[in-house]
Amino acid sequence: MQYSIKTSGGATDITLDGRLTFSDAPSYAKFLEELGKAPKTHWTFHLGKLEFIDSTGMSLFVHVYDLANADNIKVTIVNSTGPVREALERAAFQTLFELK
Amino acid sequence: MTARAGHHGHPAGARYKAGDRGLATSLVNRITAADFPWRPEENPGALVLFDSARTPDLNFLLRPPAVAALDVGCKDPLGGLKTLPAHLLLRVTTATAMRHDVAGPLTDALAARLPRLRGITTSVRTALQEAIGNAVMHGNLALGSELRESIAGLAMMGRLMEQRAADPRYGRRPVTVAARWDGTTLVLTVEDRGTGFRPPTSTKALPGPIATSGRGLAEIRAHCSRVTFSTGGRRITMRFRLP
Repeated sequence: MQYSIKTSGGATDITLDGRLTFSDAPSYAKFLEELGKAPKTHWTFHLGKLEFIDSTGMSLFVHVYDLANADNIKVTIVNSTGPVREALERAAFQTLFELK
Repeated sequence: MTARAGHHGHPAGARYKAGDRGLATSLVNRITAADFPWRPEENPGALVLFDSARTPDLNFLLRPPAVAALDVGCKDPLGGLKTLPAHLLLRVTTATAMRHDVAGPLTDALAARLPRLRGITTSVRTALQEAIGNAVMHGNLALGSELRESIAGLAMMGRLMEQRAADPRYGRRPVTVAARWDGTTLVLTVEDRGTGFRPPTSTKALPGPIATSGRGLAEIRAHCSRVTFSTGGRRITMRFRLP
């Protein structure tokens, strides 16, 4: 998994590329630490280039939810498709985030 | 089966000769005498030996006519194969399973042999990914799912993953996937060399959205027609009805 976190004004755009699986777990804590330093207004996750996600990858989003929820940050997930979209919906993540 | 190791090239038949790319000749000699669970006369094809440190392209290795691909980096690379009958088998080290996508190439390899699989490839890939992830994380690396509950736990899990993958006692433990099929069913078995676990008896649905664990096995159950465990929880067998 490759990621980028870009801030412009008060908004933060996060892009995830490739596969988000158990293999990427060593980078999760660093990712969350970086995200926690972003402005606490609106985080938008761009998943158009994310090809696959497994249950360990899904757990990363649970921690994103916890971070956002603690500071009342709005989180939107955009452009997820195929098996990634199906996995997010199967996990009922539309109840945690706005899925577009 | 007479097995010989080949020179980096793609398998062209059931027999190989010892190559010069570091494949262990002693292993080849042992394979010659091994009682493999598959019979060339019934399931003709190629036995592929590879060094995952040098040959990372699993798609290439699994192309027909391969019937089995064994990573020579595994500790005891032949251990237990007799108990894993398969039309297609892949054994990789834990470190390899962490570095490379295994479920994707394996699903593609199965689809190349089973055209009817194409309607359920997402289910097969998802279930395989979860089973391999469990075999690596909870089996061979002996990491508990409770580490995912907090960010501090995630950080520790990440450190332990890297440390143990680099430690031959953990990193060379094999993860084995065996696939067999008939006209109606695909059976996938994933086995690790961990300490095992007591499989849950309940078949509860997917956990709620804020759960940080328990989702993997529920995903497997959601995608398979039947799931069973054996060998003390070190082996999971997943059945899929072919469309």
